[in-house]
Amino acid sequence: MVDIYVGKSHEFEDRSRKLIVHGDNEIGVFFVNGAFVAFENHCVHQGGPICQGQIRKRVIEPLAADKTSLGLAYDEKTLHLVCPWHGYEFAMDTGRHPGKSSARLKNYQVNVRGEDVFVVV
Amino acid sequence: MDTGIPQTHENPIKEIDVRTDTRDVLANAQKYLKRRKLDDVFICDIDAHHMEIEAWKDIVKYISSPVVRDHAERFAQFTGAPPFGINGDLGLLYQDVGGRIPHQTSQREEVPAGPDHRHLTLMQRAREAMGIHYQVLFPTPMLLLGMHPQPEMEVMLSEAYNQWLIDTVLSKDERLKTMLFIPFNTPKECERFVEKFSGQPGVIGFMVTSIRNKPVHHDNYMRLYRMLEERGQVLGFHAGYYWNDDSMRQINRFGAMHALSFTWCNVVHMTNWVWNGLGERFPKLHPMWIESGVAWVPWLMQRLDHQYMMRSSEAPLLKRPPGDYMREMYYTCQPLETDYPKAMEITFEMIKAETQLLYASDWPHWDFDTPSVIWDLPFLTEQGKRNILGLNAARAFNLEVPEKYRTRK
Repeated sequence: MVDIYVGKSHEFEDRSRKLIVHGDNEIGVFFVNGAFVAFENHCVHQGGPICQGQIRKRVIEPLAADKTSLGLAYDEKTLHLVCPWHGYEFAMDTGRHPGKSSARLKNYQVNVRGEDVFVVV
Repeated sequence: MDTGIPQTHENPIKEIDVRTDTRDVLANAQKYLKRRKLDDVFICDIDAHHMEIEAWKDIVKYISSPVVRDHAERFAQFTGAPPFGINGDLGLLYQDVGGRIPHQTSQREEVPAGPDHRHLTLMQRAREAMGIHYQVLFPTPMLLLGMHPQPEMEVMLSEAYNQWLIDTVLSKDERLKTMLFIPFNTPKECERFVEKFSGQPGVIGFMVTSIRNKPVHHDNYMRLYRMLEERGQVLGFHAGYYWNDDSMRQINRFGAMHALSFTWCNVVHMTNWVWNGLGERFPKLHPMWIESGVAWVPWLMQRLDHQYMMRSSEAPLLKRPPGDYMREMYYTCQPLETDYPKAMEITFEMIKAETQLLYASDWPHWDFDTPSVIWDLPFLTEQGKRNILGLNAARAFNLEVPEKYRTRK
């Protein structure tokens, strides 16, 4: 296991990212909702550049008590990372697909020591 | 000095958008090819697209009728005018899932100014990234022309597009090909198109857009099929979606409608083709079913064979069950339904994929497939993969395989 230097923590605004290329590996390091997460830039579907996709709010469809649909809405608390190749979506905190949890991005541990951010590979 | 320690740097492209260069969007496809050392694999992409309406001002100049051409050119002078004469649901374009898939939204990347059309550069970049040698190009909104209320507009617009495509794109790049649009709602005009365009640069076959309500077994088409058979030309049926079809109007979300409509049109045409004995009438004319994926084929084989065995008197031209004829046809693979591997393996066996299936990317559309979808299948032999990725296409279209692909490393 090796710590790869990513940058200074103050360089990360909310919902920002850095793409770190380390040999053949490419890792996206994100700062979202006050926490760092890191994923391999490789979608589990067809290998698309998932970490270069958009961060979007999860879409939900609330139901009324009688089970009728209240239409589409955004879940303001849950963010998804969307693969720009085909639109596969994964929860930013877990890396899991919302409808098939076994479809999961490879994640990496992120260490913050003082101001310095490292990803562990 | 190589220290053996991997170098680290930052990729400057943090987020892909509509202005990102195609080669950067597809960089992972290029890495895949290098990692798997696939540079000696001959890859043909039998279904790629461009947004022909971006060039509509130039295309309408080719319209044969002076009146319609004049109207089209006047119409185009208004800023923001939609493409003259194009029918379809241009406001129902939800393919990019609300902008989540930028290459579907638009390709606005920088292309250096030069004599060639920018679409040539876009296609060349996609080919380079995916290791594709030949690429078969089709239009996009024109796939709905079969539902145009004026059949003569299907004739005029497709003829104009065809000639523009040959002059501006195909004649400039020998690795770009097409199966040329024929206006299937007017059979006599299809025959004229085959006479006129056969042998022109890049024309390797002819294509029917499948979204239309015309029975393919009608007697009016027999001369056309004979012409194509005699010339050894492939006849492609390119699927599409049509949300305004009465059955599709019951469906409320794009993805669900798209899943059905893109197969249903070819289900209907295939059924008519097989049940009416066109395989017996034109045994050397092998249709190619494009952009419906492959999962529909075993389902339809089973349905038709089951019914045929009880009602063979309704299909007296058949000398074998329908599935036998279907196994002799060609299919393009995209969008390959890979979520059920066992079903996929059986599907490949049922359609004789190692000789009848052809790789297609559908780039730049939202459900495109890279060559990895074939190379990663665990149940195929390496020769089977090579056949599907390119050699089946070379056989079907009589394409030259360059020397560098003929010698295995």
